[in-house]
Amino acid sequence: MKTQLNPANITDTTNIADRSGILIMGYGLLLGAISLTYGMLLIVELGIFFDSLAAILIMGIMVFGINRTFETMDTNTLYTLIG
Amino acid sequence: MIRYLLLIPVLTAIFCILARTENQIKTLGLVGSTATMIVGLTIVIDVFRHGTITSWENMLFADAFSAYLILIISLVGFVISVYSMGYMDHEIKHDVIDLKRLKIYYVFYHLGMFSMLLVGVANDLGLWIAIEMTTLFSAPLIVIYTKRSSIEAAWKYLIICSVGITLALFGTILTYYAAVQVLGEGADALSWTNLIGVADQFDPTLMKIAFVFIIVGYGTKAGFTPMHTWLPDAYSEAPAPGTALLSGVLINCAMYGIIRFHTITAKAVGPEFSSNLLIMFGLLSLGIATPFIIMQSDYKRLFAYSSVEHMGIVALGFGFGGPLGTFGALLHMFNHAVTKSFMFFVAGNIRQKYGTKKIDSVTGVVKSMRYTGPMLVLGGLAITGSPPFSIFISEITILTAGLMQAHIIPTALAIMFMIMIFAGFFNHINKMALSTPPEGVTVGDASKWSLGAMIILMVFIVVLGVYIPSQLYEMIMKAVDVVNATGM
Repeated sequence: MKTQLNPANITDTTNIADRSGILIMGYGLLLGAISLTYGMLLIVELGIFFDSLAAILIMGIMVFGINRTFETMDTNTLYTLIG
Repeated sequence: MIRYLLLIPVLTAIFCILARTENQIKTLGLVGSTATMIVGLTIVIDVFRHGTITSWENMLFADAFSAYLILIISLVGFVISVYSMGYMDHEIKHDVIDLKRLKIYYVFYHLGMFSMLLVGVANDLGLWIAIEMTTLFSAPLIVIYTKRSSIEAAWKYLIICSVGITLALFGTILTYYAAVQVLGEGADALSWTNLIGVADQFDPTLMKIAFVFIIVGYGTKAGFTPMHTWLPDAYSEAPAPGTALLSGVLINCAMYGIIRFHTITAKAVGPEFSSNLLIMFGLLSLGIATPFIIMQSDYKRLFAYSSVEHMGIVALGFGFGGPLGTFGALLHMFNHAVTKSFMFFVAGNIRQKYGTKKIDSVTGVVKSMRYTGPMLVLGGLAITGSPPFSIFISEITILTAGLMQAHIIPTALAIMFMIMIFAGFFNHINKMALSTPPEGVTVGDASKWSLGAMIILMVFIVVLGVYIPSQLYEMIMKAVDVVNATGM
């Protein structure tokens, strides 16, 4: 199936807000951690960064899925599952 | 040994990527999870006989509590892979999924197993990484059927759980900060055993804030209300074996994270604070699940809300505390994992037969499916806590502990909610099991693989209801010692 990004949809998407919110929360906490404790164990910090990166990547793939199925990237359309 | 436990699922996932045909993938999946189970049980026996084992410079370790979690994961994981053989065969034959989707399912199923086992053997801060990894690896299991609703469910799952787990990271960092003040910089501040040893010197205010963040963060993953909203969506949209993995194993991993921090917090600020929070969230989960169960119109969502209920009961058990409450809660974790996977297998068989998830469109399961029908009724009795099934034993243990610890009002409320849930649940089960099947539904049951997996679980459900083997009893008692930090 051919997928096209509609530029008009990019401006009003909420998925960008969702994803950047998570990134800001995660990295903000890490900065807090570094200032509180002078850094944690290297492997732990690497793990946290890797997890955040993988989360954003998987969410990116999901956005492609949303765009292909719903023909929009606006996550406000996801409201059918309730109750 | 722990290294092999983590290596086998990853290797299986890699071989599944390389496999060409449908049969190769399915056989590899079964062999891989059998090997995982054997290695897992070996570790469990090892820990049971010789105590805590560590590996990889203390980064990985297994004590009695983690061994108990490994027991649940590897056992239920194995049964799920047996069930997947029959279930996925049916889906391929009816062109519901193609080879690529089958491959995605098996790869992420085994990566999910890897991350969950990592939760069991991770030491302190590594736990956060492992739990975040379980979210990432289980999200693709929800979108195996590429429908609008499943994409919606997976997106909600990713966003809600990522935010929740980020909050848990803050709690973890605060705990680490509290530990650094006592232990000093370095790797020593990371291990559970060191943390428990010095937990009474931690700053109480700091630990209180940390535990609030932990219980909200990991509680999102464990399905506590009001953070449970992703759970019914994800459970109803994933294929049945994937749902069994999510509900039987995954939420236990999150519960394990909460309880690890509960032990430390209880030692740092006294037991009341974290216990009361657990009792509060437990009652809230029970209470909010009740109306949703009574009014439910979709049977997979019905079982999902039942998971919310049972996690509430487990939290109540840990909250009541003492040897009896903790024993009941640990036993309930196992019983719930087994019984709920069984119920989702039943749901999978019914969905494949009737092609719908609506309770109203499913009638006469007992007549149309000779084995699944009676199993639906038995499983419904078991999951709502009727004797002589295993969940009855653990629920009555938890309620007894509540009365013994003089938590009269929470116990009374819990009993009331359980009775209401029993009535509501059985109203739905009756409609589905009895009367005549709708036209166009032929008589016939699911494949031998599916039924075989269900019979394995049925044995656990029935046997543990009347008799707890002394080995399992001692195993749980050792885990109780770890959770209550007694005898160390």
